[in-house]
Amino acid sequence: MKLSDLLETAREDAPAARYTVDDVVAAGRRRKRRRNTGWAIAALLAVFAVIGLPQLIARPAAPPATPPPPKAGPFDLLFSSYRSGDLRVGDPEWVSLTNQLASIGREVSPGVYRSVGRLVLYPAGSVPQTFWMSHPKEPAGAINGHEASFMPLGRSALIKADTLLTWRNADGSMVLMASFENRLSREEMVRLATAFRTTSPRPARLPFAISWVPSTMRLVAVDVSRPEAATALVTPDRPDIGFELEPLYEQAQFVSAWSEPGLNSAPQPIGLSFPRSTPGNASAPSGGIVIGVQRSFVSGTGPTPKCAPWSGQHNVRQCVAAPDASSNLVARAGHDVPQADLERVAAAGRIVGTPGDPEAWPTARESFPASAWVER
Amino acid sequence: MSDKEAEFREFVGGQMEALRGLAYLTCGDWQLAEDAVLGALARLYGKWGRVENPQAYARSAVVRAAIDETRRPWWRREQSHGDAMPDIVARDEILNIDDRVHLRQALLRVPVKHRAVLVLRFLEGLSVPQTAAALRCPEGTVKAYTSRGLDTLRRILGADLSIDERLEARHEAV
Repeated sequence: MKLSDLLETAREDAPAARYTVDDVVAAGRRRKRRRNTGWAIAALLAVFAVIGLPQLIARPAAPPATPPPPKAGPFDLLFSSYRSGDLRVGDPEWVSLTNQLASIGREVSPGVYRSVGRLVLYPAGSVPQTFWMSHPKEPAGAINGHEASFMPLGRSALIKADTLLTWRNADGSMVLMASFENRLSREEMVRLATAFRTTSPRPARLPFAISWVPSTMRLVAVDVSRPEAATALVTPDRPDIGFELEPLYEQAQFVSAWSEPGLNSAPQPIGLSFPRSTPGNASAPSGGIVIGVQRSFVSGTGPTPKCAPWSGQHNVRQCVAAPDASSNLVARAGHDVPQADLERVAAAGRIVGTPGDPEAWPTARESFPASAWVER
Repeated sequence: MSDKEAEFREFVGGQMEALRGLAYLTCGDWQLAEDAVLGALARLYGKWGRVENPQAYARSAVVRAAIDETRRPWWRREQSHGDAMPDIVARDEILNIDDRVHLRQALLRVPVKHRAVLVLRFLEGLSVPQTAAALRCPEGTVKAYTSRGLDTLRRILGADLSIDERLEARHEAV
C-alpha cells in the first residue's frame, strides 16, 4: 500500500466548498483595506511619536523663561533708574498718557548729584507731537542696532537743553534725551543711550484719591517722584487739547532730592515745589486742573476749600483744603475753570494708604473716578 | 477588473481544491481547512505580483494556517452542533468509503506536524529541503517527523506502508 495513494484517497469525497473565488477575492480586498488603514494609523502614530511626543515631554511645566511682556496700562512705568559711570538716570518722575520723563544727574561727589539733562520715553505707538522733532538732525551712529540722531537746539531763558539725542528701541518705543547747557558731552549721551533698557511695566501709584472731577475732564499726567506729595493733571477731553511731557525744561529739584532723600519723606516736604509745576513751569493746559495732595497740615486750612488767586502765575487761582488734620490739598487752574468746580475738586480728595508702604497705594487710575479714565 | 486580479482569480480557481484537500489532510476538518485556505489566499491577494512562486507560497501558507487552526484556543473555535453528536459508524456498501474513514481516523491520530510533513512530502511530492522551507523548520526536523509519522501510521493501520519510489528518486535528485 503506497502512502501517496492512501493520502489521495483520504482527501477524496470532499464536501462542497463553502467559499468561491469571489469570496477569496473579497476577503483579500478586506484584508488589504484593513492593512492600509492600519499602516496609515501606524504612520500617524509614528509621526506623533517623532514630533509630538518630544514636544510634549520637552514642554516645560512652568511658563516660558521669557514670557511675552504684559500689556502696559496707561500710567505704567516703563523703565527704571540706572547708572553709567558717574551719570544716573532716575525713575520716571512724570508719567503722562503720551510719554514719561526722568532726570539725569551727575554724581559730583559721593551722594551729591547735579542736574545735567532729562530723558523722555515715548512708548511704542505713541507719536511725539513736539515740534523739536522737525529740527535738522545729525547722524549719531547706531544705538543698539537702531539709527540715532543728534539735534542741536538754541537755548533760551526757559529752555536749558542745547542738544537732543533721539533713538528707537527694539520694542518700537522712542527716546529723546536732552543735555542742559552742554553738561553732557555727546559721547556721554551715546553711552547713556546705549545703556538704556525698558523694563516690565509697573503701575504708577498715588498716595491720595479724588472722588470727583468734572465729568469732561480726563487724567492725563501724574508726578510720582515723591512719597509724601503727589501731583496729578486733568484736562478737558477734547481733541484739540493734548499734553506731552517735554525734556527741554530743567526741574533741578528732582535731582536735588537724590542728594537729600530725607526731604521727600520729611513730614513737611516744604523744600520742594507743591503742587509740582508741570515741565516748563507752565500752568495746566487750557481748561485743565493741577491737583496736589501732600501729607502735611497747613495752618488755617480745613475741610472747606478756600479759594484765592495764585501769585505764582497770571490768571491762575487755587483752592486749598485740609481733608484731615494731617494732609493738604491744592487744586489750581486758570479762570477758564469755574471756581465751583475747583472747590468741589479740592473737597473731594483724601490721603490713602500708609506712607511707608507705597505698594499698597492705589494705582494712578484707581485714584480717580472712572469718568476720568482714558482707555488706550 | 485589473490584469493582476484576473491572474489571481485564475490561480485561485485552479489551486483552491487542491489546497483545500491539503489543508484538510493537515488539520482533519473540512471547515477548518476551508478557513485556513481562505485566510492564506486572502494574504496572497495583497502580495500578488510580488511573490515569486505563488503555488509554493500558497501551499506553505495553507499548511501552516491549517496547523494553526488545530492550535486555536477552544474559546476561539466555532463549536458546530454536529461535533457534539457521536458518529454512528456503519459498514458502507462501498469499500472505498470505509477505507477513507478508516484512513482519515488513522491520520488524525498522527501528530499534526508529523502529518503535515507526510502530506507535503508524499502527497505534494516536496523534497526534504522544500518541506523544511514550507514549514519553516530545519531539514533534520522534517526527516525526524517523516520517520515518526510513518511509524505511527504503520502502527495504527497495521499495514506495511510503502513510499513512492518515483517520489523518493525525485527527492534524491533535488
